[in-house]
Parts: sequence; structure tokens; C-alpha cells
Amino acid sequence: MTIVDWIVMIATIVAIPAFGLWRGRGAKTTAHYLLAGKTMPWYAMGLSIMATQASAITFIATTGQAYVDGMRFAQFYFGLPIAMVILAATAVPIFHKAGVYTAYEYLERRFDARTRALASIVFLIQRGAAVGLSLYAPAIVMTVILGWPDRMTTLLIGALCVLYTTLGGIPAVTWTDVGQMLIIFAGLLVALVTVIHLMPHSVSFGDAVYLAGAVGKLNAVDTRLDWDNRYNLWSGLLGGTFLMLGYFGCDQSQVQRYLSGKSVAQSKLSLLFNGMAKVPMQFFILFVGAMVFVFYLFAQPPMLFESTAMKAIRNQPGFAQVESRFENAWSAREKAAESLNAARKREDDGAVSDSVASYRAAQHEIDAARQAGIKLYEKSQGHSGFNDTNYIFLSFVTKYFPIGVIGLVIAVILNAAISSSSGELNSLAAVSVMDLYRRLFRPDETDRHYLIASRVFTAMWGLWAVIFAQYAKNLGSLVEAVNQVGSYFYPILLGVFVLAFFFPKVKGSAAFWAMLSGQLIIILTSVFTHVAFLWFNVIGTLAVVVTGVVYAMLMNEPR
Amino acid sequence: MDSVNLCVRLGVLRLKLPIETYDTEPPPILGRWRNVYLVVLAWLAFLILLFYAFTRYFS
Repeated sequence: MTIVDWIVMIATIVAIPAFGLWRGRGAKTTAHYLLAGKTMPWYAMGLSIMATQASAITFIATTGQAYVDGMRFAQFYFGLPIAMVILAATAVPIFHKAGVYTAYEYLERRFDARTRALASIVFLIQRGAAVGLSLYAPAIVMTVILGWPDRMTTLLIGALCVLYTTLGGIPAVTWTDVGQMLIIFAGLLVALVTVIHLMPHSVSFGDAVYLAGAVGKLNAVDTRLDWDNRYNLWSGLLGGTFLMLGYFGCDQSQVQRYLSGKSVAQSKLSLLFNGMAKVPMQFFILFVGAMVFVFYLFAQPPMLFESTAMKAIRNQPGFAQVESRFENAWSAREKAAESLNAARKREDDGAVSDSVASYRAAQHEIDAARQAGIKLYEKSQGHSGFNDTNYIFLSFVTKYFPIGVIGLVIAVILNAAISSSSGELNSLAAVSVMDLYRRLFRPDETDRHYLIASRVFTAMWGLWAVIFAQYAKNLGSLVEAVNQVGSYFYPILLGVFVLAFFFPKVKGSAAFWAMLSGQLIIILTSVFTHVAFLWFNVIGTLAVVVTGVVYAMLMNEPR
Repeated sequence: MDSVNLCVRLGVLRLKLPIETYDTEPPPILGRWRNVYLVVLAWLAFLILLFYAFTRYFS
């Protein structure tokens, strides 16, 4: 990175939280610190909701995923607008009317204290693990760019995040998110324009899109119903709706955003704005990844994008053959892509058909050569599961992007990490203080006491996140498991809120045991079936609702 | 009030959908919240159709 990139990056990362602290200054009460005194406008909440959901991994991994697997991941978000409509019509007015600090506080009013405590603990476990990973993601960025040790990166980013979250509370977090989201939008646009600009002059934008589509990289919608297929239209619409209902309706890191709205209408609009903007945004990010793929048709990519992995296999027996195979495959693919492009321009249908076949065969061969490289690395390390998807976009940005733009794109990724982590820290503190500390241990203290406690818990969760992030690299495949952890826990929370909202005759004991039963059913489904994880959201929610109804009938609890 | 309150009896249990029962504040545009929700869902349907056409055309 050049000095210009450093200036752009540091200025962006420091200036935006400073703006957030200034804009959100004056949090003198617990209500202001945790709910911004219910003064937030819809656009600030909407952008903050998007920023909290968009972690660094969103930009690093999603682009890489499009490069490797195409755009089918876009379907994951199809359920989001549906969920936003349902929540705007139900949860938002109910939570606002209840006047609660947290979503789980409502559960005590509706059911009992133990159901509230159980839901709070489920949230703390799930979100507590996720916040550490949110901080760890930037370490990947800095390792690629600067070769910095990941521990130093997590410490620096964590310190910045904890500082402004602890000092400013949710007003600072929300206004910082607004600035960060605007930078993220700008950075993505610049990234796409730059990728297209870097293509050879003979390749127009239309050519690039055609070349990506010809090998299945633009597979944004798959209508086949396949239970084992992680991303298709149906899993996205049904499983995605349940997942997003759980995330936006029952996860305090999101609920807290729209609880800070100045009115029910403003909170509803923030969710509906998210519902309309999120799917195109994800499509856009994936499209950038697909264009990176096209760029590498005409510039040889590394066989493995993680430079340390490439170094590790250079001295391995068999490397020369694998490398030669990869280079030959790339040359064949480049020629096939050029032939196809030329045939299209001549409008020679026969030649187009032949060239498409050659191009696809060459793509198949280069995929196989890359897999051989991955296997070589895994053999050298003595374990399987290597995945360099996270390094593809970063490797490309740092090698080919112009001065200044590199700094901006890196700032986008780091800003995303900071914004998602700060929102998570604030919500973890809110649940720790309001649902556990105040409810179970110190119920009669002053507001100032709880304000200080909120700050202390924010700092403590920040410390936990930094410590967790220090060891995230050693978690190996567990990292992937934790990324999917929402599908194990959200259905339980969603199920109990469905019972709370829609089944007035289900009482505390039935709800409590239904949550535990639902969790058990999800675990059994995970262990004994091959059902893709998105479906856990449907199965788990239905399990909680059905068992809750059955228990209510059997228990016949008093009103 | 823009209100729909759908109740279904399921044996001893009553499924109650409290749609729009708690707020009376109208949306800033389109008059009724139901219309705003329909716009969001129509937008989703449009995007899915667009992405489907995009997938088919370029595959």
C-alpha cells in the first residue's frame, strides 16, 4: 500500500466513528445510551440495520464465493423482504407498545422470568461467539496486505470499536453506521467500475457479462427444489424468511436498532427500507465477484490465492506438475474465451457453439487443476478443509487496483467489521444489563448505576471479543460452524416469539419447555440428517410452535 | 384504523394475528401500511423475475 492508500484508509476509519461520537453525543441516561432516547429517524436506523448485518466477511467472502461458485448465494436473501414486512406489521408495533429495552424483556411480560432468561442466554451464547469472529475477519485483510500478525489487527480494531461504543452507546453506533454504510456503498461502486475498467480493451461490459454467464457464474436463481442444495429459490424464500425473521425479530443486535425509532412508523420504514435495499446490494457484491472472475480470464490468477499456502506447496513433490497443469489450463481457457468473444462479434452461431464447449471444458480443467493444488496443500499440512475463497478479492484488489482505491476498498472492509462488531457489543451489553444483571441481581439501583453498568458490560464484551478473535484462527472448521450457528439458535427464539404473539393461550411453562424441545429437535436433525442448514430455521421454529401448543394443551396452565 | 385482526380457533387454542392493532400512525406515502407492504413484496417479485431472466439469458 502507498502513503495515499494509508491516508485514505486511516482517515476513513477514524473520522467516521469520530463523527458518530459527535452526532450521538450526550448519552446521559440508560434510555439514551441503549435506545437513543427513541429519537432516531428511519434512514439512520435503516442504514444502521444494514451496517450491523454487513460484516467484513460479507465483502471478502461474498465476492470470492461468486468467483468460485457463481451468484447463487443471492437467493439466501430472498426471504428478507418478506420477513421485513411480517416484522413491520407485528413485532415493531408490539415491541414499541410494550416499551421494552430488549426483545427478551417482552417475553417475561408475556410468559415468565425463566423464559426471558433462557432466551437472553441463548442470544448471549450465539452473539457472543459471532462478535469475536466479526473482529477476526479484518485480520485476514491485514495479513494479506501488510503481513501484520492477526493478533495486532484484532487488538487495534477491537480497541477502536470498544472505545466509541462504550463512550457513545447506541446513538454513536447508529450514526457511525450511517457514515460507514455510505462509504461501503461508494466503495462497492468504485470497485465495480475499477474491475470493468481493468478488463482488456477488446472485452466490453456486455462481453464480460456473457463470458461470466457462459460458465454458470451468473446463476442467481435456481428453481429446482433440492433439500441438500444449500441455495435455491425455495430454500431462500422459505428457509431465508424464517432465518431473517429470527435474526431481525429476535436478535437484540437488530431489534435494538428499531426500538430506538422516534415512532412506530419510523421503525417500520427502517425495516422496509432494508427489505428493499438488501437484495440488490447482495446481488451487486456478487456481481463484482463475477467480474473479478472475468478479469482473471485474461490475467493469470495464482493457483491458490492465499500467498502463505502457495509458499507452503512450492517445495512439495508434485508441485511442478500441478503448476504446469494449472498454467496450461489457464492458457487454454484464455484462448477459448478470446475465441468465443471473437465468434460472438462475428455473429457466427456455429463458432459460438464450438467456442462455448471449449471454454466450458477449459474451465472444468482449470477447476480440476486448482483442486489438485488445494489437495497438495492439504496433504502438506496434514488436514483437509482448506478454503482460500476469502483471499480472492483481497488478492485482486491489492495487486491490480490503482493508488487510493486500494485504501478505500480496505477501508470499506474494515468499516464493515467495525460497524457490525459495535452493534453486537451494544446489544450484548443491553441484554446483559437489562435482562440478567438488573432483573436477577440488582433490581433497585439508580438509572446512573445502570448507565455505568451498560458501559462496563460493553467494555467487558469488547474484551471478550478481542480474546476470542485472538484464537479464532485456531478454530479451523469450527469457524464455518459458528458462521452457521444462527440457524441452530434463531429458530428457538423465533418459535417462542411466534408463540408469544399469536398463541395467547400458551403460557410460561409450555413456552419454556417448547424452547428446550425445539433445540433438541434441531440438534437431532443436524446430527442424523443431511438437511441443508437453512431448513433448520423452518424445522426448529415449527418444532417450538407445535410442542408449545401441545404442552399448553397438556399443562392447561392458569391465565 | 387500517386494521386486520384475524382469529382462527384451533381447539382450545386461539391463533390471533395482531396485524396493525397497535398503531394508528399512517405511513408517509401510499396512504395505508398495507399498500407499503405490497410495494415491498412486489419489488421482491420483480427482483426474482429479473434475476431469473438474467440467469436464463446469460446461461
